[in-house]
Amino acid sequence: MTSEVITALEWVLVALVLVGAVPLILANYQFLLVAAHFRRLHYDRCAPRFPRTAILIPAWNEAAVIGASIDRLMLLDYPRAALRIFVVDDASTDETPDVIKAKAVEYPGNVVHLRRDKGGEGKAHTLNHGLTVILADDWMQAILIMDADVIYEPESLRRMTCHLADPGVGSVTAYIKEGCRPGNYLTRFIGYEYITAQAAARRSQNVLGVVACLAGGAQLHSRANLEAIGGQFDTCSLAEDTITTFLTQLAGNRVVFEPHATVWAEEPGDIGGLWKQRQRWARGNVQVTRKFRHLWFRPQPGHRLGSISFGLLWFALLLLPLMMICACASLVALFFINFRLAWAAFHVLWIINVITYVFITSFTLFIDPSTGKRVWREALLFPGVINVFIIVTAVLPGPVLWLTIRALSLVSISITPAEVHWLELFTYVWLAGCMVVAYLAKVTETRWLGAFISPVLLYIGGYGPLLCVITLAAYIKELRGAEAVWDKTEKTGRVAMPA
Amino acid sequence: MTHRRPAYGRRRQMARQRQLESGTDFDKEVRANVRYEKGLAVKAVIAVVLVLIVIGLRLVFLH
Repeated sequence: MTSEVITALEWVLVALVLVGAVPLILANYQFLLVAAHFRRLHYDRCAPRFPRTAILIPAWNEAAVIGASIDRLMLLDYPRAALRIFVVDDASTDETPDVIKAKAVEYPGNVVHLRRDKGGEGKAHTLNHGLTVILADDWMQAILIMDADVIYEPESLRRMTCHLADPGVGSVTAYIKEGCRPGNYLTRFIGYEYITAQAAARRSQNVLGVVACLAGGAQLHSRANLEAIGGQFDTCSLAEDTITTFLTQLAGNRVVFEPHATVWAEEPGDIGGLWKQRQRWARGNVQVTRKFRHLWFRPQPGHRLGSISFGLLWFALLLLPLMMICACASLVALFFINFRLAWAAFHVLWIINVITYVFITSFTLFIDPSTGKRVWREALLFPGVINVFIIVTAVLPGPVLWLTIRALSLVSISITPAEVHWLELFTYVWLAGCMVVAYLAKVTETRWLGAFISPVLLYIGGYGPLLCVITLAAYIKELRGAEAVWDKTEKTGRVAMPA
Repeated sequence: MTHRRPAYGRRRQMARQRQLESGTDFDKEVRANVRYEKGLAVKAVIAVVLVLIVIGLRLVFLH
């Protein structure tokens, strides 16, 4: 190969390494938008409103949680005469029907039990059964769709309905918080993730004027909006809530995220449960990307789904694992061609990583300080222990190397320059290698000593890389055309709302 | 024809509804929410300052 070809190849590889910085830069942009949220609040068009609201709850074997959820709904700071709870029992085989019937007797006129004899077809089918009944009657003016395990704070519903005073608003969603008590290491990671994915990301979407997804556990629609989008949910995908959100905005109605309406949800307490839930979400996102392929990066009047900012943020998240693998592979290739250039490219990537880590972690903990107090350790270790070590080394290379050499010399280990060279290669490989370790955390969970080994591996590999590997697995399933099975997350009633 | 007074629980709820619809609580809540959102802008500035401190540290240890 001529030297020109090698030089060109080197710079292509450097460019591919820097592709890994794209999602980081966009994440910073998204969080900067949060700071501008106060300028885009919708409160000037809000007013106290108490439309007659049908609350639709799909329930399949939810005996452990449904009773408590109904009791909490009856404590809502909302006129009881304007509330009707429709629980669609999806052919449950446990005591769910008995619990619902008991609640219907306890709250006459407020709780309605609907039964599907053929169940297991998925959430969208169950919701559609309820929607058919509810829309057949003129009573309903707004509909709240929620999950059976979600606990609403008393003021949450009225804080959502006040936005419907603006006829331009079709749907409103709330801030879903992780509510398992006592939680474990995984629910604390999810607690932190939800501040970033809900409290922060949805505020930034309010600023952009486009919301990606109404939370499945808290979506309020006006009757007019529900009718405008056809009165039924999409049953062909695993992301019926995201499709509803897109259709709402395509119909010219606004979607609002109300960050001060808080609801609490039970989240998976083991990696297996998380894997099922997130793979469903990730596959749903791939399906949505395909279904609305004509929208991306094509700004149109009436909605902002085609805006450049929204498209960049959507694809940055969707393609994150591929970008990381691309950056890693390019760094390794560059290491063998021109290790000095590899080191320089790596340095640029990691300085951007440091900035992102410090800004997003600190700001996220500030956004929801009450959750932050509980999950700050998981926040700091979100990228994994080794990635955090690399981040600290990127900021303070001299002191960290000195400390490392001292610590190793205490156990009579010395590092030769050749070993430093291979250590450098290890840090490059780790960019994607952390995903493998995070995957091992899932694999070992159900094996011997899994309860001990799996969390250790997750802290080493990182929760963020685990989400990446789940997304990657979802791509593969979609490419293989695997059957879209509604793999429901098991709920046990561990949600406890703070007093 | 006699009119019976609604039960106590119902009367209390009607009173609460009147209070909610009057907008006093609503205005107070909106003001608190706006204050919180403005506070987030200040918190973002603090986070940016933290980033600048880290960059400063990096520059100090570069030499």
